[in-house]
Amino acid sequence: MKTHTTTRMLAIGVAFLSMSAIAEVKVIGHSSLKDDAISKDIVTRLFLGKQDKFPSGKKAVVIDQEPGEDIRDEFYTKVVNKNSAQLKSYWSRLIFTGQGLPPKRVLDDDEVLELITDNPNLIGYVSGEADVSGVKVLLSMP
Amino acid sequence: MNKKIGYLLGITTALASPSIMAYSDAEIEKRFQYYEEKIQSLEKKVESGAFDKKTKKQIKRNKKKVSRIAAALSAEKERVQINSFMTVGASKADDELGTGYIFNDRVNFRGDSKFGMQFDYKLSEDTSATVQMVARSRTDDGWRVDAEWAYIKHDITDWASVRMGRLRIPFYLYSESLDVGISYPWVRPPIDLYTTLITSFDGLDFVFKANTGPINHRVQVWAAAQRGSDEESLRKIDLYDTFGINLTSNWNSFTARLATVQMGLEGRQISERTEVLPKTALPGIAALAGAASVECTSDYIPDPTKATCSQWNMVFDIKDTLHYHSAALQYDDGNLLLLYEGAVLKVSEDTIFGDDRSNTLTAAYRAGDWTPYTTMGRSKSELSLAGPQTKRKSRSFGLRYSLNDSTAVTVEWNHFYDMQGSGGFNEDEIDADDTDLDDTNIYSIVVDTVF
Repeated sequence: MKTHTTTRMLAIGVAFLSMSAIAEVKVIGHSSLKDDAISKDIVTRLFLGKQDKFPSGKKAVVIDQEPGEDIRDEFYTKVVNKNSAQLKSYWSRLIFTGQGLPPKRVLDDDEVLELITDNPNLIGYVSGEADVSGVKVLLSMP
Repeated sequence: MNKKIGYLLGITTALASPSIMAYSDAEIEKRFQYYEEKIQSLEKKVESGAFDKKTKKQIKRNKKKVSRIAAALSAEKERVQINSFMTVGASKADDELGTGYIFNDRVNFRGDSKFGMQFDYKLSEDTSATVQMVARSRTDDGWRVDAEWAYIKHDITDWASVRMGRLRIPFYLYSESLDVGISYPWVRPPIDLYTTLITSFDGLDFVFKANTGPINHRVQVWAAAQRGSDEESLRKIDLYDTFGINLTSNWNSFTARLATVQMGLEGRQISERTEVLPKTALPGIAALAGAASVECTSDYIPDPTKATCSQWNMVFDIKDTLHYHSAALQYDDGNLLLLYEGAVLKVSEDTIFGDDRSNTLTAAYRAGDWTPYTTMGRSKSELSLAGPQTKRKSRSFGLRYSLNDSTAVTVEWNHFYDMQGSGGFNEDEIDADDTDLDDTNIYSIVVDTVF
């Protein structure tokens, strides 16, 4: 009985660990970027199309992930402070008034990493589990 | 074969089963050989079998990924984006009301329903073309398709761009996305403000963007000139000397907007009347109404002398300069939305329109998938040739539910009260016995989506 409880506790613990791992969001850019860290505000402005340059002055191109990816919801609620419906409403207004188009989307963390490794203008976000050794982490939200 | 290993193996097997003790060295060697072969064959099997499946899967996944990246990159090259929006809805009013929408005392699926499709073509790094076709069911004659936007845009610098072609008239904060239901909380933007006769113009605009610290500014200067705006109630009107400038500033949750528009209108409006009168009486009535001319369109059949008219048109000449001034202040922190918007319409020559003043205030609160909201409004039109002074107040309550990221269903109840005259609603549309309305209601439900 006792071992049963322990196993259970352990399972819950593991679940929590994996949840917190998925919950961490890392905003990443190319390793050659002059910017070492970017504030939440700037990241928000970049991802909402209100700004298209890094603070260092370099042109910034945003890469988004596909809707439905957990990390996407996590990123937009934590960093940009919008849920997916609000985000859709925001972009609808810009698209249909000719004021902007939403960022290009890729499939998952791996694609974000792959693209950013090759392009110094890109900025994207990945989950905490992703291997970010080849890129620069600009903002980390636990 | 390594003797030592063979020996060790011998010892272990000997320990495991005492009966093997009887085996000779050669026999052990043979057995070892056998096991080693078996391991090798198993390894081969693993390599070609189960393990290979995993590799295959991995290769497949990689291939898929590569193709996705390639597709994303080629999409970038193709540079075409298509976005669409759609609204289906129904409304019912207490009375027959005409306001640019169709509201009457029966359930009506026309009016709010519309569909729009937008194509964005990137022609070069700094030039693009945009076409937005919108089909609306707002007019009496059914669905009509119109190009609401059709322009070529060129970025002059990082902070300045020019657009030429057909654009939306930026009267108010939500005028440019008037048809895109998902871009605002209401069933339709408050009709106290947002029922303008013309929604698009042909001309050009310049857009400048600048930042002062954390505040984003957008300045738009536009000019229009076009012949014969083809609107149902306002036939044959030319727009000339039409300019506008507006400033929108955004800081965190706050958005402020100031706009001014000058519009030169020249043309004529025909007012259709159905009333049995002697033809000789018509010129007098027309002169009294200020009409430029009057014409009998249908004789009164029971009168064989054809001296009586049953249907006649009064033609009003329009030559006016309109000035719209509007201000909006919005707070939107993601959950709470507060919006004040007001406008003043000043008419220089007063040939047909009267001065007009409208104010609206909206509060909405997003709680998960639910967004309840309320709007208050009041509007007042001064006496003019179009009619006597009219006034009305409004109170609206609505609730939006997000079915998913891109689809929402909204119900709204508009209550208009303290009405003077026709209350600003189209007098011709209101039933004869309803001309002295004190209050009226509109009930609506819409489903908005973007895709």
